[in-house]
Amino acid sequence: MVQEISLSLEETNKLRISIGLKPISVEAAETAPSTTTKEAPLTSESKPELTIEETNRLRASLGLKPIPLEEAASLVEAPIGENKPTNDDQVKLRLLDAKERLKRKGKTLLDDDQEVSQDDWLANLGIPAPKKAKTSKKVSPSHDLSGVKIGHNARELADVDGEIFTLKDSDLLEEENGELNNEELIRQAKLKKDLREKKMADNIKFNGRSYKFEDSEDEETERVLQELVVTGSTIKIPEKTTEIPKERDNKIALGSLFDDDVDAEKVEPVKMKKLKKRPKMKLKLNSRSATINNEELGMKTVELQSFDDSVGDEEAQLQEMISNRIKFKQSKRSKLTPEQIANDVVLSKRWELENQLEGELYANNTVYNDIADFLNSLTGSVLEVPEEDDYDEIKTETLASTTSIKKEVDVPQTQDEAKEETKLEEAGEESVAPDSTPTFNKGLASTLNFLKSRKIIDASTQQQQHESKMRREAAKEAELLRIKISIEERLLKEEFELDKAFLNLPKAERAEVLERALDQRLREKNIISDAPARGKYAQKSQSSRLDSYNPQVKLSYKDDTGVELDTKGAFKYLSHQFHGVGPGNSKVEKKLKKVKEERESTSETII
Amino acid sequence: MIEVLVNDRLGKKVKVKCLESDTIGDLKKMLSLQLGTSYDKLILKKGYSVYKDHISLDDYEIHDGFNFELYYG
Repeated sequence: MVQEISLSLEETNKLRISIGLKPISVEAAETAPSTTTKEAPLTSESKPELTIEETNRLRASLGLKPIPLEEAASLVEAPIGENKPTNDDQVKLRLLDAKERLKRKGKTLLDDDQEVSQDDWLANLGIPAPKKAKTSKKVSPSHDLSGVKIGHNARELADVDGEIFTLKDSDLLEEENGELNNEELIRQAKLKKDLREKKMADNIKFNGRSYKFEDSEDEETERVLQELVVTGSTIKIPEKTTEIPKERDNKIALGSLFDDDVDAEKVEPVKMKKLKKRPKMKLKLNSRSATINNEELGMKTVELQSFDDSVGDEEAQLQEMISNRIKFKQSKRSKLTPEQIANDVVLSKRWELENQLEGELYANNTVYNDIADFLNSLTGSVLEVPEEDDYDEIKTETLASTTSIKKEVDVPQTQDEAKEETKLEEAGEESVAPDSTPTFNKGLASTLNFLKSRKIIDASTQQQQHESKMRREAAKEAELLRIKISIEERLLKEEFELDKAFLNLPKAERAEVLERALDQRLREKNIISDAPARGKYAQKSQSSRLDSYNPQVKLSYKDDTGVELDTKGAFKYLSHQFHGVGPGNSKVEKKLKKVKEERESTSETII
Repeated sequence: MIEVLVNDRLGKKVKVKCLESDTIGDLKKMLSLQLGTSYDKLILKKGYSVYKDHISLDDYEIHDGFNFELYYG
């Protein structure tokens, strides 16, 4: 699993040089405590492994249970993997069992004993010793062995061929007959047990539960089998090994016991199941596809619902129609060619220009008043120059008691004119006129001058006059431009109406072509310019336009509750919004309370 | 020369030969060549202590067979 990488010295040196580090010298590598051959040099050299005796001594000094020597040896001798029985092992076991059985049938331990009779030992004096030695291995007095338990099962015994069985150590006072054991087998059993325990411990560690082992059944059987008893000279071994094939046979037999009909019955439900399953799957698929369809044609379903819900509801229908149209338009727009988009842009520019001009016309809500304009123009040109003469004349009039009839006739005439044009001012004039007795023999100008001197009409300053003049000029320009455009449009239309090719086009295209041509012509005639004017002229025009622009702006910030905020508060509010934080609940509550109180107090004062 | 082990516990265990006079940065460079990861992305740790690039292995008293924990930054 773990990918372990280690490079040789040459390779590392190459890499080091490529990085710019100095290479590791070969001598240094040789003198180094570790070499590439050793896996864990530190542990092997600086701390050599302790022997079992040493570890045991240490363990004893620590008060721990010493490690048994046998176990350690077995651990060394038999690795974990070898103890697991495989199929081959089982076959071997069976073979060995069969062999043993054959042997036992031919000869028993007792038979051997009978052959070697103890009584006529003198006759057997000449018989060579090795036979005895052979028997000594197997033979032990029959009466001694009878009833003795064997501490191993058949399998284990099958493994052990020609091994020595020893009597287990037991107390002298015990009444039991004793137990025959094989050291090798005991060791293996112990090892197995340890492994099992280890596994159990691991399981408990990882899952927090103790699982029943798969081998638990085997264990039980082993326990049963462990109590083998030596009867006479033979060891009765229940043929456990044969049971395994029996079970298999049973299975087969059970299978074969069923008739064809039964089989058919058995198969049928399976088929039914399959049949049942299939429709289910199909249904599922259908439902899925249905949902997908719904998702895909979401619009349709919505339409149907709306129809069902409100048949007479015209509003919903209208909205749907509108939304559909918008969608249709949008889809159409997406299909536009770049040329068409460019045309659209040009058109929109022109419209913007026209709108701008219109806006300038009605900027600052100024209404073009003919009378005011006329009067203002009079002040500039007529009133200021003959002022002194007027006064002289008035003086002369006041001084001279006799006045000419002509002059008297003129005054009411002028008064009438003034009446016609400025009704409001007339009242003031009448109220004031008798006191100072002015003469209005110079027409409207004198009247206006008089009114201004009496402060009935606000005398506009030079700057105001200039501004208003500018505005008027701009409005005039805009009007002129519009007129020009409209003239060009009309001319173009007339031209196009004569063209048959144009008339053959569909309506929508006709409008498009017309717009395009108009735009082109306007540009040719320099009525509108595509690019904004540059250089000092542009600056001039811009600045001149902005001369009259003097909007009075007052910024006011309000919070959620509608309370007006000062600059600091507004900054705080904005920053809170931006960073997604805000004051705590208690602060907010306090603020709300304050606002409520303030409102209440104001309402009380109003009442 | 010493040989140190670097384990990222994600399937990579690298043995790197280096000199004690090398800095941790040099070691990281060597490692990056062997692992294929940029050296500035490597973090060498042992327990909770992070090894700094400019200090040499000798200063850290890193001996042969030392085990580094490797993290990716």
